[in-house]
Amino acid sequence: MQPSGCILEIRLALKRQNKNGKAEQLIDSLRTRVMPRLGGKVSIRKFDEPMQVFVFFVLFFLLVYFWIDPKLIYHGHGESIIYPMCTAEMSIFESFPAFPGKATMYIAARLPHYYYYSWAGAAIITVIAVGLCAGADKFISAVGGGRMRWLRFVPAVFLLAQHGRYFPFLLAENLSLLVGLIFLYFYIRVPLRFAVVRLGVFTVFCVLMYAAAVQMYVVFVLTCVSIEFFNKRRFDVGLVEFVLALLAPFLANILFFDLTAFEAYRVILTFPSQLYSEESVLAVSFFCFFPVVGFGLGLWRIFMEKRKPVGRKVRRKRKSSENHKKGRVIRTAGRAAIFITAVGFVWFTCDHTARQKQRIDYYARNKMWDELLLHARQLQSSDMFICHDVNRALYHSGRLLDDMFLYPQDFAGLLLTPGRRLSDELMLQIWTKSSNTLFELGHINQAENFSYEALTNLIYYPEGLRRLALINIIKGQTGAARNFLHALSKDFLYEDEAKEYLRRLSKDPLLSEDEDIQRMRSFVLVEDRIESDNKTTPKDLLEKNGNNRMAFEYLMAFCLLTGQHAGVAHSVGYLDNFEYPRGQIPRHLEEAILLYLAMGGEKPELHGRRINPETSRKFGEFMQLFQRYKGNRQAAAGVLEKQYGDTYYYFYFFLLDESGL
Amino acid sequence: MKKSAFYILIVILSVGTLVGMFGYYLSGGQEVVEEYSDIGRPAEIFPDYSDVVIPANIAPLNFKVGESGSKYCVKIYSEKGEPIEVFSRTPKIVIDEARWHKLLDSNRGRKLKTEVFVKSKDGRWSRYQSITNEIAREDIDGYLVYRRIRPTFSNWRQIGIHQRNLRGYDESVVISNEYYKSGCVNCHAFCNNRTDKMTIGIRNLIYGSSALLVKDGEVHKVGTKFGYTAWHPSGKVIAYSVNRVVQFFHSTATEVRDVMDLDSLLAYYVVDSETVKTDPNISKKQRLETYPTWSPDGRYLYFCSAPLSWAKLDVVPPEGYDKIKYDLMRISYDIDKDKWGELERVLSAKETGRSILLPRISPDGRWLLFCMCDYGCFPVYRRSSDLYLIDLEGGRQSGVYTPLRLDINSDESESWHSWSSNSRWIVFSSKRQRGTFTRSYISYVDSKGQVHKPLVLPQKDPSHYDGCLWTYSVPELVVEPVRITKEKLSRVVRGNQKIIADFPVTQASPKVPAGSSYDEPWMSERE
Repeated sequence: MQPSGCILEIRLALKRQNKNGKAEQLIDSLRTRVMPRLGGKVSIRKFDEPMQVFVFFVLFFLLVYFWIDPKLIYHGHGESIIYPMCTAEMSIFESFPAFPGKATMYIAARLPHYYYYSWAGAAIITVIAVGLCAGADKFISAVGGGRMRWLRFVPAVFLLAQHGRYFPFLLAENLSLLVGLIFLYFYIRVPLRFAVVRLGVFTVFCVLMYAAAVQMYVVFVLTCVSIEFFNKRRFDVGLVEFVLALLAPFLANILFFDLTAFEAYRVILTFPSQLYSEESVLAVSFFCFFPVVGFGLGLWRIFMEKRKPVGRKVRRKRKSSENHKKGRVIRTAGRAAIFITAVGFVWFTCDHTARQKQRIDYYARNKMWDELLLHARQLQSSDMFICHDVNRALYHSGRLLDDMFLYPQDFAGLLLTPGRRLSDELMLQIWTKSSNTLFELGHINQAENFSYEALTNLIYYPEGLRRLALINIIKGQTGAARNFLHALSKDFLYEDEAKEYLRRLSKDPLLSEDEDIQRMRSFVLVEDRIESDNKTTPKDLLEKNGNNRMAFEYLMAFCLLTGQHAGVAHSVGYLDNFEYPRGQIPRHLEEAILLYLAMGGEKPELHGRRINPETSRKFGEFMQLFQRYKGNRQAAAGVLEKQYGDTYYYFYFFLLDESGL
Repeated sequence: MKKSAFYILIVILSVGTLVGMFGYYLSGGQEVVEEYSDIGRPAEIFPDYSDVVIPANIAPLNFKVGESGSKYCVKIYSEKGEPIEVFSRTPKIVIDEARWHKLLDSNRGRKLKTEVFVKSKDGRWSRYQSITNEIAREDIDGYLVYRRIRPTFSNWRQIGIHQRNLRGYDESVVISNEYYKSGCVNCHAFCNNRTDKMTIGIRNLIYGSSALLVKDGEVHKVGTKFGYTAWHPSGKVIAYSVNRVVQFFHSTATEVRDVMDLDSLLAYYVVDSETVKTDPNISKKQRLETYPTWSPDGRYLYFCSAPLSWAKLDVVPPEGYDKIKYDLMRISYDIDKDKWGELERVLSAKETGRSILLPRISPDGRWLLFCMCDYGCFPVYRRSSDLYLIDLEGGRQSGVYTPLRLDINSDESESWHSWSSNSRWIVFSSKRQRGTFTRSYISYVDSKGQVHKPLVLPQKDPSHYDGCLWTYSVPELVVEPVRITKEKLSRVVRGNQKIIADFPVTQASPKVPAGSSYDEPWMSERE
């Protein structure tokens, strides 16, 4: 469309909407400002397209920001982010021997630190998406897929879907793909007349790609070859490129690395080993997108050319206004369909459970107990980690002994004691979460042990550094505490807090006026024992300090989860040590006492407290109904769950056997 | 000149000028300090480099001034040579390497004075009492090889043997477990403080456990585990321990970790014949033998030995683990006949009341340095571990070996010591600075056996140790760098070729399996 035609169309369009004044203003603006800069070569479609792209990426950013929420990835306690994240310890990573792909891994290790702020994380992911789409656009055009340019948005959709899984974290691979597309761009752009020069450039790019971004080496090679095959139609060059691509690792190995021949070639096919099947399919589909598009479009072109009648020029009919309208409707409908498909794809591939789990973990780390409990109620499924966080949240909200059976319970989740060695990823979660709980319980040495395990495995673990600093302060080891605080102060997220502690330590090396530290010191065990021989329990901690409320509540929770209601019934006296309402007993303890009595236990001393009549009434009803269903446990469970599912006795009769005990 | 080139030049010059100005600002800018008030005490400096004996060939002892001020000036001088003046706007004092070495070289055996001036915010200078150190006549060996790891519990990741050029700050990797997909690397040992003959222990899940044997520029993989290793001075025999290690954790002690040998013995590898042997006297069924070290003349093998008091070898911790104490033993050895003599008890744990560990004899044969702790075999986890010295010459004459506790000990653990080739320097690991983290300390030993106040291994950045999460252990002094590249060493680790060196089956049943199996991480990995 000519510029004059474009202006005419705008005028007509706006006049139809009775916006004459605005139309004139816009047209003036176009004539005087925009057109001269564009040399008069402008069309509505050319304005339309950047606007579409802009809107697409604004939506993309907003989706990542609000829906994916990159801070959840940052707080993925090692499950998602497997690279060392922080600047303070990056020197460790720098000292790693050179290996193929280290450059992108290095950047991939640095960037996630900014995921701490969701907006920054969303910006990073969006920039990568923009880069991938721009690269895809260029590539699709290069392989003659001009009419299929809408495909350029597919990498962004894949990227969104990939982040919707939360695990694994494939930033290095994504960056490698970006690097590959940059090389591809230059490979396409640079005018190369001679095949030899073209091959030379390809070889150099291959070597660089191998050295810097080996993760997507194969993808890069295949896309380059597809261009030679289907765009340039130089099959001989394409085949030589294959051979050169095989030689490049050898060359790169001589120049930069010291791998054996087997290892040099093996790394080009290495894919993150921690992928599960769904993630594998998604990731492979994503990374194969470019070669598939290259070969697919190329073959399609060849196929279409063969079908075209030879020797006759087909004259295209000039579109009538009606056809034009129809075309626009079809285009709009097509775009809408693509958009809906993309959203549907992302929605169906998203791991909603992982998202919820990450959110629970985030709340637990940030001690947002109310939010955690609210989200936990909405969860469809639970595991020992969620159970652990929920119990911690309940304790800190003062509800553990009243509401713990409102939530699914797992014996192993209370103190994360699965009873066997789990996979490294799960052990990492155990160490990070347990160290928090053990610290709060006052089992300082075990918290120290687990913090070190997590620190060693995560390489950089600011939460762990913080905790180890506090542990050493509690133990009076100020030197070690300073060491951790200095390390922590290099992290901009923790700098202020670390420096404040250092300042306070310089004035008072034992922080003897800090109430929290003093309280924690009063919890620390005195009698030494060997943990592998005889594990310390909340009971030991309570015996050391009868005022350790967390130890008491965890001990009670332990007794409830293991069906030891006799122990619970005889522990009511401890309530006096803490600030429980006078005369009252926490609900689950009441339920345990009632069950204990109903099962023939001797009347426990309630120390002036009494059981709530409502609890007694409910228990009586339950027992009557339970008797009625005697012999049909399954039917009873189904009927009683709705009304009594949040009680200890329901747990005891129907869930205890399945609780992992 | 093209216009664009002109602009580029202008930009480059502007950036250069700005960088230069910024650098000048940070360096503090030279000025003459003429008027000042005297402070009647020395300035606090970190690390504490005061009253120490310095090797003339050590890197500059950069430090941080612990006094607040807006500008700092430090003057370092001795009797001869040009004084060094350092100005800084921050408390960090970084000394010029070339001028430092020139000053120290020309003042061997003399005092080295350091004067600290601090400018207050109101622009007045204060001078603190000068800090006096002494420059030794004798050099320290030029390189330090140590293991750099994290404080280790059950798991570990980054472990490497590193070497440090003591004249400067260059640190390089000798071998790192990153080169062979994780695993452990430990127990590096050298023959006569040289690197042409050395061993490194490797544990790896994929490539198996082995010992890397470097001999005359060639690397061989020996298919057996070398524990604590000692080269015979002739370089023909390597004595080593085989340990069945267990780790466990304390619920309340300051040091959470503890390590014991459930069982152990000594064996030796004959380099030329590529065979592994042992002798009943160094692999007794009812004793735990470990930490071998040769006398410099090669006639005696010193080692530590404790009675094996537990019946069950699979109970952790073993019964009475906190009562176990090691004696210091020695046994004569005739290398020509490959014949072992009678066992002798050099120092008894009953006499000292403590567990005697890690004996190391000075290359001149005069001094035996070791550590003693309350119990067990792993001093680095025992806060009670201190360094002791025995005058072997005096002992030979009197027949009584009397241990002398060194003044350089701290409240924290001291361990992993080694001698320089001239017997004038020791380097050891200490946790005195930061509790959990071991650092390498250097001490001068004079001809009378007096061990002088130690100095922590200097770093280019004086605040290096402040937030350093590394632990530096097993520091070994060598006169030359390890020349075999890390790539070559790791290639051998990953390679298939190895020397088969199993225990002889006819032997009196060694208690600990000696094959090249892979241990649990914590079994093979300790600080």
